Amino acid sequence: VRGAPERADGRAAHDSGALSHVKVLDLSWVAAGPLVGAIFAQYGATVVKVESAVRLDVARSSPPMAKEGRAIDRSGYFAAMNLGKLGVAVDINNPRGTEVMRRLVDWADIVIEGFTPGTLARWGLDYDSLSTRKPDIILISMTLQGQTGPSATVPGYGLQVHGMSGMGTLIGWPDGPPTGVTLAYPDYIVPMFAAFAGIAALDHRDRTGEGQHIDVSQMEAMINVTGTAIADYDVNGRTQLRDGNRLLAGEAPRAAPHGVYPVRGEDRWITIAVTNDEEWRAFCDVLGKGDWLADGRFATNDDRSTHDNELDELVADATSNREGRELMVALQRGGVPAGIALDQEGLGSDPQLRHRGHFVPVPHGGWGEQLGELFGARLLETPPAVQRAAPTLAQHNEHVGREILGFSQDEFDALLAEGAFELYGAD
Amino acid sequence: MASADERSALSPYRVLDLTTEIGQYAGRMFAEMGADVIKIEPPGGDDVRRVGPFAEDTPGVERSLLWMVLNAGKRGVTLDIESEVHRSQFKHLLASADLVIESSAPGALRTLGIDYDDLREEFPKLVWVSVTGFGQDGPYRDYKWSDVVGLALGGMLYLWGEPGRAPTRALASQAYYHASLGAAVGGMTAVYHARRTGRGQRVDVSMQEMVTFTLAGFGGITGYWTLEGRNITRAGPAINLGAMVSRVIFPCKDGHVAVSTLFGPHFPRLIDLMKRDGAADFLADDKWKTATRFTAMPGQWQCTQEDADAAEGVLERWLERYTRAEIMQMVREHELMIFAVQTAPENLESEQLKSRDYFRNIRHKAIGREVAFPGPPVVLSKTPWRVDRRAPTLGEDNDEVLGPISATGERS
Repeated sequence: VRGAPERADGRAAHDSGALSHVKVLDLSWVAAGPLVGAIFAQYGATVVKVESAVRLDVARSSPPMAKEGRAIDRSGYFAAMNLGKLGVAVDINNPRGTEVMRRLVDWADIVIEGFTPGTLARWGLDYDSLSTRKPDIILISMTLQGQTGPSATVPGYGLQVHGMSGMGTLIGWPDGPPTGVTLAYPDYIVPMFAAFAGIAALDHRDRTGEGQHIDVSQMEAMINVTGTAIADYDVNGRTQLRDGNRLLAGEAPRAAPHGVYPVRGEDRWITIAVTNDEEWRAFCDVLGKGDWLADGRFATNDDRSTHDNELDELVADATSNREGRELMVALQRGGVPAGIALDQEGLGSDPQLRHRGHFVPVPHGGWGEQLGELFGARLLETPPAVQRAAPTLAQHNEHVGREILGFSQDEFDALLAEGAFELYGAD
Repeated sequence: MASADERSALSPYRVLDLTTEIGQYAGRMFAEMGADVIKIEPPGGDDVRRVGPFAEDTPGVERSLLWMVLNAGKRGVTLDIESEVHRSQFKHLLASADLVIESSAPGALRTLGIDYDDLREEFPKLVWVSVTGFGQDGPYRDYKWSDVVGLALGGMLYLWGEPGRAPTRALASQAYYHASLGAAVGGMTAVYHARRTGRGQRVDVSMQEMVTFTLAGFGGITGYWTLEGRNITRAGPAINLGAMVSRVIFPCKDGHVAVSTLFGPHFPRLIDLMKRDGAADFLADDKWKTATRFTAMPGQWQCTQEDADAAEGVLERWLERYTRAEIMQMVREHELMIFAVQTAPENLESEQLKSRDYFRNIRHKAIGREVAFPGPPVVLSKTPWRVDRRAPTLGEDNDEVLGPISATGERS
């Protein structure tokens, strides 16, 4: 279940990927759009990311940052969003740049973009223009609130959609503010919806010859992962709000103990989810708390649910001096769902992720080695793999111009001289 | 039946869905894109039917709202796959299936003789998605999972909640959605490949690994450790960018709003509005209009974390004078990058969502009423994502789906 076999140059050979014949033109910025192409790349698609060398992708200045290389190429954030792609810089406002863009469209099966609705029409790259030129093209448009409606062009970030969609109000403590904005969560959920729809549309195209426009509103996708929030309000009149680590159950009893408890060390935590009597007995046994089994407050799940605050305090007392990983292993051996809250260092050394080859180092054009990661849906015969590191700005201008678009060396040199293909820092 | 609809992208395909909560949303995605998805549950009903909240808070196998949400669009049959007779019916169904999605503990189906490895020779074109907590191999293979355990070992839990307190999950089980989204993307990719090549395969989905994808894609958060040698931790209502923490969610008079990074292009206009109200405090100094937290470009003034924290305090005190509606009015007039933090009732009234006919009402006969559902997560121009068919009642489609099989005399 590893990445595909390594070639001598250190890049994964990936001619056998499920999407290895698929060509993707990625015009998108920042995070949500780029990750759609990055998923396709893991399944073998050839993805060309087009950037401007003047108006830089905001992701290129976003942390974390590598310590070496040109400032514009050091972002580990950009690298995470664009893993496995080829990168070119094209001046889309240059007449010959427009010609390059048309050639790229003719090459592509799927185009991904994330401009404000209406912007693509300026360059003749809107869906109507694209589909006139190429009826079977699939255009994926990633926006905050969709292509239509009174708020379609309101500017903002995925971080804010986290609040607007209701997701923020579901994360945190009942006596505290909405949280979960430590990272821009919607930017990392919505690409999976878009990738699913994109491959389904590709399948439909292969069978019928019909392309289409896929309008992705982050807001609309995110409300779909708020579980029963809409239905519960509609049917029961209940507005669901964050509740620490309790399970949602309405008025029904909930499984207990269920929560996050301190273990030894600074900011170290273990999650424990006891859902039935068998797990409860095993849990008490592992913690050496046989007396809890005889405590009438905790006899059945309904009792434990009724007294969950008292139980949480007792559990926290019992776990706080235990070493987290040892306790997790002991609980799991006893058949109790438990897991420690890994930080980034902990993820890097986690034995399960290591076993599965989750982290894949690849040479990066700007700073030595990028630690790529694999998508967690492993097709065992055509596994996801890291084709290459994320591109430095304009890294593959010549490769894409010559090998993919078929320009002669003279033609490519002329396009570069005329500023259709761009280099960073050039006038 | 949706699968007969030419206008659905996945109408040629049939999916058998054996999942529990961890993977159950994936089948709904295939169903609403037009596949014929048959949810197979034990005769006593799927466990999700026993998870609340329930309609009118009255438990019952036809009253779980979670069941309705995770299984909309599917047909439903009951089969006890532990019984040999029912297993043979399951195998009959396999002959017409393109995709199986299951979430049994690794090895559990092997003991029943119906794991993928038992069936792949007979059904070479079949795609078989196994959704589990940690995958089909490795030291955690046999670990028990739950949503919060997946969030924890996938690295997300550490980042959610407030500093100084225990981390928190989301009230809606996010790690189960991550696993389901992985099953949908991986399953769709494998079905596409199988149609082109005639070769099926197993898709091994690990919830833990899917959670790691939501940490800013392929390394956007783990990069803090590998590139900068630091761990970032949860920041409550703020974004944590390693070297800086920047507040996003602010209280206002009647709730909260989400403000784009403080010193974005809207900040000078924000300062003018605060000045108008005599509430700009030290932000009245013009240098703040050029403030940046990043490396200062010519003409910019670089401020420290302390400066920014103080500025956020001024903004907070000003925002608390206004309701969300009043703030959103200013947003429209002055192009501020601020969104209201909303909950379900407010989203149901959203003008933007109404203008796109987003929410859908689906009648559930078992509870005698319509239920509001979020609309399509993605709008496709030619092959619509349809949210128009309710989840099945227990055994609702047994006759239609299993009837032809029972005619062979194999049904008990």
